[in-house]
Amino acid sequence: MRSSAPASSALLVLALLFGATGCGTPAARRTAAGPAVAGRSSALVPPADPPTPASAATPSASSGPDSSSGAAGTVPGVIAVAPDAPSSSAGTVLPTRLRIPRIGLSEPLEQLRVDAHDHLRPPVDPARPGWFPGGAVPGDVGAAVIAGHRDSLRGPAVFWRLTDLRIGDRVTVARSDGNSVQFRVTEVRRVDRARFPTADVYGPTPDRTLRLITCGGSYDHLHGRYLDNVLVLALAV
Amino acid sequence: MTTSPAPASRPRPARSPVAAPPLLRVLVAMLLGGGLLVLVAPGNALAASRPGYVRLAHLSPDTPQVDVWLTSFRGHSFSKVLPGVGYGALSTYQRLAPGVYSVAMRPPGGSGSSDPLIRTTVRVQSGKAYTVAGVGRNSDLALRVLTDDLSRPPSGQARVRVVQASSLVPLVDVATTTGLSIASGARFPSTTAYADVPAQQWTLRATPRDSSAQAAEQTVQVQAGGIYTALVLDNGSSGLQLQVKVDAAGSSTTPLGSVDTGLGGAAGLTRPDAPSSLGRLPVGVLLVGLVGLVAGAVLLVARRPSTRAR
Repeated sequence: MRSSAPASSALLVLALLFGATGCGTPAARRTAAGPAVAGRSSALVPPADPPTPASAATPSASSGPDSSSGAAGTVPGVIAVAPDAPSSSAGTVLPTRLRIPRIGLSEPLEQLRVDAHDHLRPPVDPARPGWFPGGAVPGDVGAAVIAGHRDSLRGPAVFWRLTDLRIGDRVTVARSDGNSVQFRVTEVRRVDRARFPTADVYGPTPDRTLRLITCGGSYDHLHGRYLDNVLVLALAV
Repeated sequence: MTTSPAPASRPRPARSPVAAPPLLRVLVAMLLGGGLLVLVAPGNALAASRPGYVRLAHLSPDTPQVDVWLTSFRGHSFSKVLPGVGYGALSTYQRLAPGVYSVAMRPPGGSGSSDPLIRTTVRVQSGKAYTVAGVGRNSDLALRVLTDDLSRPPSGQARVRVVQASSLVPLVDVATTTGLSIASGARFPSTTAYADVPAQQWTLRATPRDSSAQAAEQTVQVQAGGIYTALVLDNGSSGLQLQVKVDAAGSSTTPLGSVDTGLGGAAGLTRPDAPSSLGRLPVGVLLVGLVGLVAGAVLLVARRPSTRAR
């Protein structure tokens, strides 16, 4: 008993030491290394970087004054009444330009095509992103899809830096009707191309979303293709 | 206030073996702390990925205007209100973190803590959508949670369902003017199954079974991949009213598989990659949690012989 007392206090010191490390490390990492630096130094996206997880998970679904999801005690956010479904197809509105300030991207959009085998063709010009006309017009209810090359035959292409995006980053799409729609990144994810999440990308959504797609992972030199796709999911603000 | 068998141990807790509880408390706290770090961190990382959706509706014909509140059940970290809505109002979907939420109808202008007219809870699951509707006559007003199906319709088609909220007639048929049936004999108050319809412009007609009330028509552009709700309502002058809402919109055609957006010209250059589904777990936090667990476990094991020896 007597001999165990020093042993246990030594262990206690050890435990406190570990404990202190346990408490200190994440906090220190968060404050010392800013989001950009932390992001670049590792492949991980710190999930709670710019916005709080709660605000990232529960942004308001519609535009207008209901942008706050006010906590109790403050003025609560306002929920809007849903508009009626349009009785005729609206005039053809097209997205014209994609802007992503975080990676200094501002490029006009081309229109993507689906080939004879129902595969989505990448943009013709590796320097330009392309919009999939079978999906939503960015800013309308539904999922808008924009794909861009990670690299060309010669080197980096338009979406080379797409993996630098972090949750909360802004993405803007200009439209032919003069509107400019702001989105906020909600998720950055790399997926095995053999298990592409079709429903997540093209499936119905009740809110106004944007999906940016490029290639990622390792390059298969034998077959001349990247093994993964990188998906950036964003929600209209 | 019973007498402790070992009151003498109190003045010198540091040395005595009876001081084990404080030490144990530290150990247990560490164990729990480590475990919680391991458990909580991945949960947070994944939470933002798949939200659920809730929308609110006032479908009680003789219930006056109300405020409809949507509040997270615990902690009130989410609280929003659909203010001053009358019969026939349907809100936009609210994107929510999965969890339990409270829906309450209150007299207009009341605070979020005032007594509700009626209240219910809805358990929001990841990737699921719900409509919480005040239904029935005011005398038997009830909040009903409808599960909405926002999964993909068959290629080239859309899905339409009917919410029958007209109290004028017990049974209503809804069909296109060309005779394609959407719902047959929908009863007040109820919601029907989804019907697949080809994507095009349709005029929908709601016809009462017993023809005592006027029928109603509404023209709608139905988009492929879209999901719609047709609301059958009283029009206030012994007739029906038909409103069509877009629940969700999807791609009109769905490409197969992935997108070939790389030609390999920069394959030799290093580039920080996006996290894969597994890589999303914050490894640093996991490690810290594991270290806490191991340290806690080691200490517990180290303690055990001494307590037995006593």
